[in-house]
Amino acid sequence: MTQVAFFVDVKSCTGCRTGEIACKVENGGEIGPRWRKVRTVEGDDGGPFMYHVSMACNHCEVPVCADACPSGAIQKRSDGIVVVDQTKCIGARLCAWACPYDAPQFSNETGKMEKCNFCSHRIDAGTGGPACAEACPTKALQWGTLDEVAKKQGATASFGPLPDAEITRPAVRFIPLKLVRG
Amino acid sequence: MVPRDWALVVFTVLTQAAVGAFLTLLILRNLTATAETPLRSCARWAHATVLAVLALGMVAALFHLSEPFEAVRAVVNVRSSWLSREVIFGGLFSLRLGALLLMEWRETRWSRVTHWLGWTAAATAVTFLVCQIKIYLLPAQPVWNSLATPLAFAGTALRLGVLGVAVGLVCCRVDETSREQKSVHSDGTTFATLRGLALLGLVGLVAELVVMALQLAPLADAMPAAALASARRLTEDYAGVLVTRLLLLVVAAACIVVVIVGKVSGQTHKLPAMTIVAFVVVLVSEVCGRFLFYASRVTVGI
Amino acid sequence: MSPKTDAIDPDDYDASRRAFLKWSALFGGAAALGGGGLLLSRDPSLPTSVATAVSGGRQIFHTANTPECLHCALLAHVEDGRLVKVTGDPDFNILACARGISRIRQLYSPHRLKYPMRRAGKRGEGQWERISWEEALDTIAERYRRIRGEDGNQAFLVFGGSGNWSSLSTGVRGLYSSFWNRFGGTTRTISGLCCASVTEGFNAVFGGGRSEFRDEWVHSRFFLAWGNNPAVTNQGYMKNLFQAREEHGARLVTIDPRLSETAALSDRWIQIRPGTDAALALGMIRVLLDEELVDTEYVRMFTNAPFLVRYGEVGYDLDAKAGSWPGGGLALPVDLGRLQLLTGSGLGSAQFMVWDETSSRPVPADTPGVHAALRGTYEIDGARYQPVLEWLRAIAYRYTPEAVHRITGAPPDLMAAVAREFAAAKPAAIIQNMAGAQRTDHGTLTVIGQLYLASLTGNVGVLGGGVNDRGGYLGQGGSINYPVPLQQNEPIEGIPVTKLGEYLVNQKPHPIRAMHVAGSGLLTQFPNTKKIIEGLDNVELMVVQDIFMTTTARYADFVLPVTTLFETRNLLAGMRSRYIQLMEQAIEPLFEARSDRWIMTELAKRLGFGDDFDKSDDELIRHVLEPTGVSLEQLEDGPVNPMPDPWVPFADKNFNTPSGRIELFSLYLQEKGFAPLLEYLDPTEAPWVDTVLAERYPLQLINRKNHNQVNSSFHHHDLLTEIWARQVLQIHPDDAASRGIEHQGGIGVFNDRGAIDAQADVTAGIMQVVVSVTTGWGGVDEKQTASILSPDKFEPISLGHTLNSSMVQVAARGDVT
Repeated sequence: MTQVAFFVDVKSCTGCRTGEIACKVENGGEIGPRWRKVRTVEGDDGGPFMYHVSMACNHCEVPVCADACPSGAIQKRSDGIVVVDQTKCIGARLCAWACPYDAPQFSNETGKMEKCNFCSHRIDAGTGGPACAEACPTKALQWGTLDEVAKKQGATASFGPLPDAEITRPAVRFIPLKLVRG
Repeated sequence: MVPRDWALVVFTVLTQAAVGAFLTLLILRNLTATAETPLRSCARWAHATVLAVLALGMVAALFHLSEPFEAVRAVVNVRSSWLSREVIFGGLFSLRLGALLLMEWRETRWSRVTHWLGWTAAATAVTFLVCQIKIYLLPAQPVWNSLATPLAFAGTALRLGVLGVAVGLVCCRVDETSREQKSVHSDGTTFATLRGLALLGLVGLVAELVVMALQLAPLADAMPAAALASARRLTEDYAGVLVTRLLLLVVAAACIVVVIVGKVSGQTHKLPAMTIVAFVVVLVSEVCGRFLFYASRVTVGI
Repeated sequence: MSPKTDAIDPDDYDASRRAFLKWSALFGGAAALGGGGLLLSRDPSLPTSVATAVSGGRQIFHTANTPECLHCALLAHVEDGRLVKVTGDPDFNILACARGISRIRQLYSPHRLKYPMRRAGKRGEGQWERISWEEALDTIAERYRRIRGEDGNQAFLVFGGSGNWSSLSTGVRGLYSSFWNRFGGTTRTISGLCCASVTEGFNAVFGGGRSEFRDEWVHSRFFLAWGNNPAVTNQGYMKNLFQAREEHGARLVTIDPRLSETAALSDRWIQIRPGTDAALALGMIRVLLDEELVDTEYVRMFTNAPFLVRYGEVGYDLDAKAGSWPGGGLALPVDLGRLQLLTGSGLGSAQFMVWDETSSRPVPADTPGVHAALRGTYEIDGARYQPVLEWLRAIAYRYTPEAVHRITGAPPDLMAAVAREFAAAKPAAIIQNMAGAQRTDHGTLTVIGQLYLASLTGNVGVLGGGVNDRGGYLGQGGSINYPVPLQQNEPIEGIPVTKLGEYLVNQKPHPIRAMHVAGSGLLTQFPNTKKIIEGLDNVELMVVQDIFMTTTARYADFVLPVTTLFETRNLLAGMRSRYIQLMEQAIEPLFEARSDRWIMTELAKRLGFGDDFDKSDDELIRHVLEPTGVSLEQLEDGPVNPMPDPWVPFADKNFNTPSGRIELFSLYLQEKGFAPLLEYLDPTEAPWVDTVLAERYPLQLINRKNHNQVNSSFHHHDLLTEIWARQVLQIHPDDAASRGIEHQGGIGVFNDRGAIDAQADVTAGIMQVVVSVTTGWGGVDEKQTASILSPDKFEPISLGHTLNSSMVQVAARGDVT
């Protein structure tokens, strides 16, 4: 099976966090763990700039979290989705150290790691894709196969302050914000 | 850093001390194989102490887990997880050390089997240390993913190992000499050993300065961003701990120099106390250092 | 004995809420993998009728988000009588945002009001006594009757806010209005906090009307987001803007003192001082006139630019380009009020005269074949006349790029470049949408400047062009009925909305004895809020109906728990959306909460006019719908757009002005006693203007909207609070450094009207000397509500809100006076 992937058009992202909330509403998420997080990047490059990067687990082709997990609780499925089996998690939190994207989220309530599962229950049931992507009001966040999203013009797996994509080969592609300011 | 990371501070410092002390003891024994070396009479107690420290460290590690009663699962992913490997080699080291201790208890003189056990235990201990280091060599954590981590971990083993053994040495001597009213200084072999250990300890302290330099280097070249953030944490958020650690290192170095020189205000019999002070100061400084190690972690990216 | 209780203490409902959250395994991995089929989104192939049943016992109900935002359609997913999920309706024109879909947390929030309560301690103290609905309604009705008997209807002041802005609640022409009308009327507030200056700007230039074309943004080639942040306030429609960018290479330019979410995504960003917008507009107009970028044919035909105008009795020897005007200021040294249009004997535009260049004589404006002059001075009967445009040129001429830069701070080249781009790209849209820029000391002038620019470039009445104002079917000429027809009441003198506190304190124009507040953030939105709280001492009875113990509710004598949108049937008729939407009841009401509609009906029964209200929901809804041509049955299949598609505001170029044209020379304004042509006036409360006050309050405060709230609605949503935890003040690094303020440090913000606490966001994205806070945040008592700091003076033309013309000082926490 092909690898699933997220696609984030940064120049169409308003930072509204609808994806974050859609994720919580879909997955019954509580306060604390944030499977998807919108990060705001600010800086100065001949004038101030700001943009938002919506990111969850990138279901990496090289899942360093799974490699680091001592109890084998993290597995990569044949469709590329990286899932945590909480019954196997012992809360060592090494996955969180290993992940360059802060995807594994430790729940103080359950004492287990949890993270984005690409709404695998929806994928498996054939009822749609990740709730975050389907809820995005501007279509800045989409999903597809890695082959599809990698073909989009200008797509890159890393830009600006994002980690070197070679660390994990994330199944995500971004269209960065490129501004020519007058 | 979360409170649970303190378990790792205790775990790494204690187990590294155990590894260092065990290797030091083994090397000492073999350097002076024929002579009636000072520690020979206390060897069993020394190994017992090392095992106790090791066990204490391993138990402390459980508190890092949110499911300590399921800790045994930590060995499942030996195929790729350095933590699984660490647990396995930590366990193996404990077992071999335990077996060695059993042998020693039965027969003070080392048999061929005891020697074999000693050397395999040493190899396991080194592997254990390597696994510990490898856990932290994560590209996602630039402040860890450098020479600083092996230097820091091996340095801890060296400093606490040799100084720990030095403390054992003086305690052992004090115990024996109290009856004979002889100073440590008057026993040539013991003093030479103590000086040697102290010298190694001093080397260890220098290694730590290199570690700190590596951690703070990003302040100069501002790259990479996460490493810079780590360095900023050290110099801004935890400046107090950092300075304390530096001061402790200086104090420890001064104590060690005194031990090497062999005199305190012309009074040589203060050397055991000075050795113990050096060890305690280094121990506290190791805890500070390891706290900083965990506290300065800043993941790459955003 | 009734137990005393703090309304925000979680009670046993907390347990059921927790149980709910376990419905889907907290973690979706292996547990959910086996559970395929349980979680369904609506399959487009399924029927979308009422309560669409899908497998697994799940039902989906249509509803809509009611606050004053975009009125997104929502789908409520219900299982076994419990709401399990809220999603945006994928068939609607836009997709719901974080606030809409997090409504499920509002429904099951432990902080909801659960039963009627009566104040037990001092007002605002938070001591409550639980009472029955019967007792609450009887007592309130009895006291209302007594007060009305003693002091008449004028002793009542009522607020119906946008918290639940729907037909059977407090919506425009909603049941709440019907109720108070049948009650005999009440004292009302005059003008509005939101868009009074847009309304007046449109009245002045277009003769009224609204203009919203967000669905048509896809046709635009240029967007000028002016003092407005559509990336936050219209985020559902931003996809259309992005589509225009993708498909036509449309450009986006934002005018804002801060690097807003929109500015951040823009091709160009013009940073100007708050309240100086009209100067920027005049500068751009100068560029258009100077470089002949005006659409002269359009201007001749559809505006009154060619109408002849005389200054005083004999006219003025106007040389629009003369550099020798007396006086050194930017304003012309003349009284624009003395300008008079030359009129003839015709009607409509025919009554106004233009100079026909062909025949060299004045003729009525609509004379066939006329070629009206736009420039020059013409002598008629011994007096000198000029076309209106010549006067506009004279006014704008002084707003050179350098002069505009001095006033606004806008880089001269950038301003001129944007003016050129705006003129060259057609259709071009100015996104105004009740902007913060019009909530300033001279907000109406800001709006008029925008309308001028759109008119001079021929962008009004054009698909994808014009000035995009507030949205909604009702604003675009649509009509609905009140659920209960109105009666004629005696007029009662009102209170200027911004002056509420002052009027209550001074008991002007008459004492207010009772206040009824429904879904309104009275004490988080109305300016100079501390003054209002002071004025409440003169109000003997305050009743608040709401979902939560809001700041406003805390000051009430009675609080009545209201249902959320999932617990009642209702109608949302196009206040901020073109669509008319039926809101189906998805679940039974929780606790003892009742709908606004039920409360009004029960009170009406007790006050003797219950019969007209005591009807079924559907009877009332059908009556509301009558003028729309949309039936209830249609709505049961989903939202209906009753408007033409695509929609082009002012497509017929027929304006409701005396001339029927766009009136650059505004007779409306002249009649009200204001200058008939655009001029720039400095804001009065600005540190670069009031240098004396600036010694104490050297910073200009502007309010911004954020993704987490709509005014003060949604403040209680924990999922949103997790992301946006605190009131945040944006401040420039230089201003922060000179005050010892650190990024993310605690700060106090204060002026003579009060003080609030905030967290500092030290960012180069905001102009120096300007600071920004989130509007509507938190409560007065938590000292985070920006309205405490807002001035209560009103915009002179519109009587509107001027909260963005406000001066404050900021200090690292500890220094707050």
